[in-house]
Order: sequence, then structure tokens, then C-alpha cells
Amino acid sequence: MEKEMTTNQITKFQLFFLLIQSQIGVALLSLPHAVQESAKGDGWISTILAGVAVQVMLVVYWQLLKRFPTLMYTEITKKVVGSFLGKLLNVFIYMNFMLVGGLATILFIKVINLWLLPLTPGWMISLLILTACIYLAISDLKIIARFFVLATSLILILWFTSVLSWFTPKEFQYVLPIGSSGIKNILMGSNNSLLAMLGFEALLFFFPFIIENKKGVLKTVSIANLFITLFYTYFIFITLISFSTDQLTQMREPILNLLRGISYKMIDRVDLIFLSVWMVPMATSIITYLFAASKSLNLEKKNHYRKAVVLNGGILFLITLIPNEDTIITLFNQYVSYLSYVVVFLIPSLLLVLSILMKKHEMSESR
Amino acid sequence: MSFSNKTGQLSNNIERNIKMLEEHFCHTDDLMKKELAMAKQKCVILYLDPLVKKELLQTSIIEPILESEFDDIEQIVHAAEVKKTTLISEVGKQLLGGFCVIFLEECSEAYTASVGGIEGRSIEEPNNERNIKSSHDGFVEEFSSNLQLLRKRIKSPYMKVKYFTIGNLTQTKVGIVYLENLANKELVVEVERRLSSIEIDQLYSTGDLEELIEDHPFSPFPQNLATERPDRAVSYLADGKVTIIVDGSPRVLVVPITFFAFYQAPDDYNSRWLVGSFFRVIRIFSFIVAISLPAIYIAIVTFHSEVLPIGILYSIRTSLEYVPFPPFVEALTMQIILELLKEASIRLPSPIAQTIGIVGGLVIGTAVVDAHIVSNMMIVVIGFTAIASFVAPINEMGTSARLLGFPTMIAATLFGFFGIVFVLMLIFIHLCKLDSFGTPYFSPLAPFKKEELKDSFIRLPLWKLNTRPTDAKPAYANQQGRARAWKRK
Repeated sequence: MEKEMTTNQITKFQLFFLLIQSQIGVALLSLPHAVQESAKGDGWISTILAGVAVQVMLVVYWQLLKRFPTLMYTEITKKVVGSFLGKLLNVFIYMNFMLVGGLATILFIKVINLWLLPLTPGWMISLLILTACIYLAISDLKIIARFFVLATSLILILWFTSVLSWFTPKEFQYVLPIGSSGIKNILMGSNNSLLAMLGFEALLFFFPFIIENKKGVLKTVSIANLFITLFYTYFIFITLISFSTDQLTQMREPILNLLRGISYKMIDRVDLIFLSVWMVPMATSIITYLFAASKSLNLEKKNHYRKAVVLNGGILFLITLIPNEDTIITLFNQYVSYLSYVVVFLIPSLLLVLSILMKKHEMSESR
Repeated sequence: MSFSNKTGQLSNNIERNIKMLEEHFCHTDDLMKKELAMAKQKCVILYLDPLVKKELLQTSIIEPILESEFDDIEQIVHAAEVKKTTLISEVGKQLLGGFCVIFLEECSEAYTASVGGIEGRSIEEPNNERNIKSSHDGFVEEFSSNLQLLRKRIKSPYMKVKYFTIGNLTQTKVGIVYLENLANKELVVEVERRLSSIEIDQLYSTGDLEELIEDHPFSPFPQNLATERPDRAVSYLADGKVTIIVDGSPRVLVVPITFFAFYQAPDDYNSRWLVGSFFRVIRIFSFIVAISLPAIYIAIVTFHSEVLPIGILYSIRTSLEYVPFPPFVEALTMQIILELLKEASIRLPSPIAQTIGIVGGLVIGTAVVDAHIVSNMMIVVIGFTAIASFVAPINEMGTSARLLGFPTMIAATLFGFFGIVFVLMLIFIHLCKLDSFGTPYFSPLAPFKKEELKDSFIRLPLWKLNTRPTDAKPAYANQQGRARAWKRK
């Protein structure tokens, strides 16, 4: 057991990619649509603001984790607020990861049903996705990290695909005048893009696994955050100048529509190829949630953890059986986002404040 | 387990000793006995007929004994190795190893002297790992020849050999070879542990041993590299890896190994580095083609024909027009025909194999299309895939890739692109999970090591390769100084 712990470590380099893969997922495809609902042509500003908000949270996490360098999120809660309250909080944390994971899977299935396999039943797709996810999530974090690093090369390919779309007609008028939607609407847009950036909270679970020197971690996660913010902003910007607000309202996945416009002598529908490749980043987000949810059960033994992953995968499958209707999903999305705000923003901040006030850190005895 | 319990002490009585030995060998007819008169004593020589060299026995044992004037056997006999023993089981073991035994009258000790010499195959270029520009010798069945091929290339006192005997029945000699100052200690200990823990009656070949020591027996990927090329084995020794030689098998195992090693060939280093790198990239490409090309074709034809522009789609559709089967059946038929052809021709003498090639390639190939069983396009796709799968310099990997093409095809038939990505994801996750003797199998891509890319995907010029590959965790990394020092003057 001891040996397993020491070998199951990740480097900061791997942490960078773990975060990127956790955050970038299914949400990107529909992000321009979601952001422009309130922020209109200023959607790209919203994303930058969301990035700033994430950065603030990362600093909060950093301060908190520095005090408890070998503990995970769910262990810190117990340490700070005591065993009983901590367990209660952990239930919320567990539910959050399961529900967000479930939501990500549902959206994944929806995209596949809409674009690739219109007639295949959703549960079949769900079964396949979750099989792959469970297969990776039961392994050690270092193996998950290996795969995520590998999968990031796909994101670069996708970025390259988007470059191809530069040559479709563009209209800068759509984003002008800058700031015309008003601060309130831009902030509302930030709210939407913040949801797309979720996944960085996995840091609270990755942190204890980072190899020895934890000094540069804040720098690493900040660079990861910068990368993702720029990545999202870039995609939103390029979509905003390609389509008018009216068009965007009618598009469910504007990024795919953007690529649909490209056509070559050899390949006609770049969007389908893009979506096929994009499945991997979508699945990696689910894997992170599955990992975090199973870790949040605080299981000591490796074997128990594996069983938990399989069990949680089964629960995720059940969640995806929810009728695939837009109204239900929107409602589900809304509740999950409230829960996420609590788990991702509120609880860690409270924990930090409490641990500072009560002068608690890892060495102090838990009640 | 059969004869190890026959432990008997030798006695003073020579007749009894001989009888004991004959009983030990169950009165076999090839146990030869020759009585000689030495200066003062009577002595008897026994040996197993097929295992000794007659001339050697004559010149180094029999003649000196007959001409001798004193008694000390160890000084009379000219053999390279002379041993003394009192145990009948030890004598038996030596006889099986090509020794002859000399019993003396009134003496409870037996002398064994090496007169062995089994004629082996001469060293020739291995058939299944041909290379154009590298050396043309290959490992053979005989243990000592193989060791010699390695020693010849690395003249270092640090090259260490350790012997193991595996198989209660076959008593197969297995040796691990490594560089004492370079190989990782933990790795060596682990290899020794795995080898010495094997309990088996018969071990015939390297393939058997491979299955006994690999980490993940259910994986489709080979996790030890078996090579017949000494130059290849030596290059791994110099990386700090361990090679395992099995007596009687011309394939030498190398552990630990990574995925990309299977797509490298010694020729890469004898070409210019750009050429070598180009071929490596082509080979990696061949792996991807071999596992996914038929699947992509099936997915496009059955699910996503909109991906193709109308021109190409039209030509594919016309070739599919009269074919009554779904693309998957077409692909499966062609793959099976191909495998059958390969299996049929592989063991036949080459003139007949050529006939099979003509019948298979020309007759079946064209007739199948004319009969509208398989479309033209599918023949192109399967042909391309087959060629790609044979590109891998180590055959096992190519076969694995071809095998993995089937699940991808099935998934593509059922779920189109989604299915392909699903299976590819599983394959790559599996590759990330695999390890060989504690080394990540898919290194240097997973875990990503920037430094290692220089000699895996591509091959940089030799003078750039200042450090060894680290996947075997060698004791020190530096492998050269300023390789082009003349340039700096």
C-alpha cells in the first residue's frame, strides 16, 4: 500500500493537462450559443471575466490546499468542520460530481444523437461511453494523467481544424460596438461560460498526488486556466464574427455549424470528423468527474475504490436514462449549476476562512 | 520431478557404480560403456552417445589414459573441464550436459570431463527480420553461439551472464545477459525473481517463456520483444535492458520494452537520419492504418456518406451497386481470404507458395469482384490495410494490429464513427495502462517524455543522441561526449 502511494504520483506537467482535459469538454460546442443569449456580441468578454473568476478561485484553492498538502477535498472538510458536518458536506460534494458527470454524459449523448447517430438509442451510446470511462477511471491517477496528456494532442488538431474556418466569410460588425450589451448582460454571460469552465475543482482531488515539490503548482494551474480562457475566448470570438446573433440563437452547437461551412475536394463535412475526434475530450471530462466522485467517498483500499468507480459508473448510466427532452435537461442543468456553485465556490471559500480563523492546518488534530 | 529423487552415493565398488548409473538412466541403449586399463587401475568410461563428439573423446580422454604412466586423472585428461563428484544424480546431470564420466576401480569418486559438441545450424541471416543495410548474422538454436554473438559485439567485462535451469523435464538452460554497470538493479532482480519462480515441466522455446513472464497475459500487445538479430539485442543491452536467451531457440527476449520499439529497425541507424526518421513515421502511420482503415471505410459507407464530396461518393456507390452484402461482410470475407492465403503459403515450399499467390491474388482477387461478392473499393481498402499491417519490423506487432482491426470494424458497423472512436479510445487507454517490467509501455508518449522523442518516433542524428533512452532506467544516462569534436577546432 505504501509503495502504491509513492508510485501513484503525477508531475506538474501532467497536472496541467489533467486540468485542461477536465475543463474542456462537451460545453465548448454549445458555449457560443449559451453566452450570446445574454451577452450578445460581447460574449468573448464574458469568457475572459469567467477566466478571472476561476483564477480567483484557484488562488483560494491554493491557499486552502497549502494548509493541507496531503489531503483531498473531502478529507479537508472533515478536518476543518469536524467529522459529522464534514460528512454532510461530503454528501453534497459527491452528489455534485455525480450530477455534473451525469449532465456531461447526457449532453454528450445528445450531441451524438443529433449529429452522428440519429436513430441509435441513447442508452446504447451511454453504455459505450461509460464503459470506456470506467475502464480508465479504475486505474491509478498517473495512468489517467498519461492518457489525458496523450488526448491533449487531439485538442491541438481541433485547434488546427478551426484555423481552416478562418477562410469562411467573417463580419467584424457583429462584435461591435464593444461593450454594447451592458455590464449586467456580460456578467450573465460570464455565468454561462463559468459553467463551461467547471472541472478545475478537480484540483482539490489531484493536489495530494502531485510529486514532492508543490511550490509551482499555483503557477501551473494558472497557466492551465490562462490556456483554457484563451482557448474558449478564441472559439467564441471566431463564432461571433462568423454568425449574427439571430443565427446563433437558432444554432445548438455553433462550433459545429462553423466547421460545417468548410468543404474540400476530399472531405465535405469537416464538422463530423471534428465531432468524432472531440468525443475524446468530452469523455475525459466525464472520467474526471467519475474519478472525483469515487475519490470523494474516502475509500482507504484500492480495491474498494475500483468497486466504487464501477458502481458510480452504473449510477451515471441510470442518470442518463432521464428522458432526453430539452425542458427536463434545462431544469436539470439549472439545479446542477446551483449545486456546483455551492460545492465549487462556496464550500472551499468557507473552509479557507474557517481554517484561517481556527488556525487549522494539516498537523492539527481533528476533532 | 521424475529423477531428482534418485540420490545415491557412489561406492568403492566399480561394478556397482556402473549398475547404479545404468539404472539411473533406465538402461537406455545409448549409454555407452568402455573399459580401459590405466597404468595400475582399471577404469570405465561412460557417455551418452548422441551428446559427445567421438573424436574429442578419442583424443582427449581415451588416448591420454591409455598412454598414461601415473594415476591422477585430472592431470591426464585433456578436457577443458574436469569435475569430481560422489553423487549419482550429479553424474547423471553431467552426462546429459555432454560430459563423459570416468569411474575408477576402488574409488568412490567419479570424474566427469566435457567432451560435448552438438552440431548446430550455422549462423545465417534471420528470415523474418531481414534488413538491407545492417549486419547479416542472426541468432541460432545453440546457447553458446548466441552468447558469442553478443560477446563479440560488446567487449566489456561488465557484460554479465546468469544461468537458470527451467523445466523439470527439459532442464532447459536459460541465461539472462545484461551490463552490470548499466542495467537497473531492481529490473535485474525482478527478472531473476520471475525466472526462478517458474514451476513447469517443459520449456521448449522463447515463446513459452514469454508467456510465463509477461505482465499482462490477456493483452493483445506483445510485451517482450523477441528478436533474432544480435545487433538489435546488443543495442538494447546498451540501453540498460536485459536480454534472455533460451537454449534451443533462436529468438532472444528483450525486457522491458516499449510499444515504439516494435516499429524500429536496425536499418534506421544505417540510413541517413532524415530517411530513418521518415521510415519510422511511415511505420507508425501503418499501425493506425492497420487498425482503423477498413473501419473508417465501413463507417463512411454505412453511416456517414455525407462526409465525402459527391464526386468520390459517386464512384464508391457505383462500385457498391451490384454487391448484395453489407460492407462489413465484404470486409470480413476479404480479410479471411487474405489470412487463409497467408496461412496456406507460409509453410509451403516456395514454388508451391508462388502458385498459391497467383491463384489467390489474381484468380480470387479479380473473380471476387467480377462475381459481385466484394466491391472494388473494398479490395483496395483491404489490400492497403494488409500491406500496412506487414510493415511492422517485428511481425507480432503487425499481427496484433491486424487482429485489432476486427473489433474496430465491428464497432464501425454498429455505431459508425462513434464506434471507431470508442474502440480506439479503449485501445489507447489500454496502451497507457500497460507496463512491461515496471516500464510504461506507451512511453515516451504516455507518460510524455520530450527528451525521449529524439529516438522513438523519429531518429535524430547520432551525435544528437547524447543520452540513452530512459525507459529501462539505466544507471547512468550519458552515452557519448562530443561525438563530432573535430568540428569545434
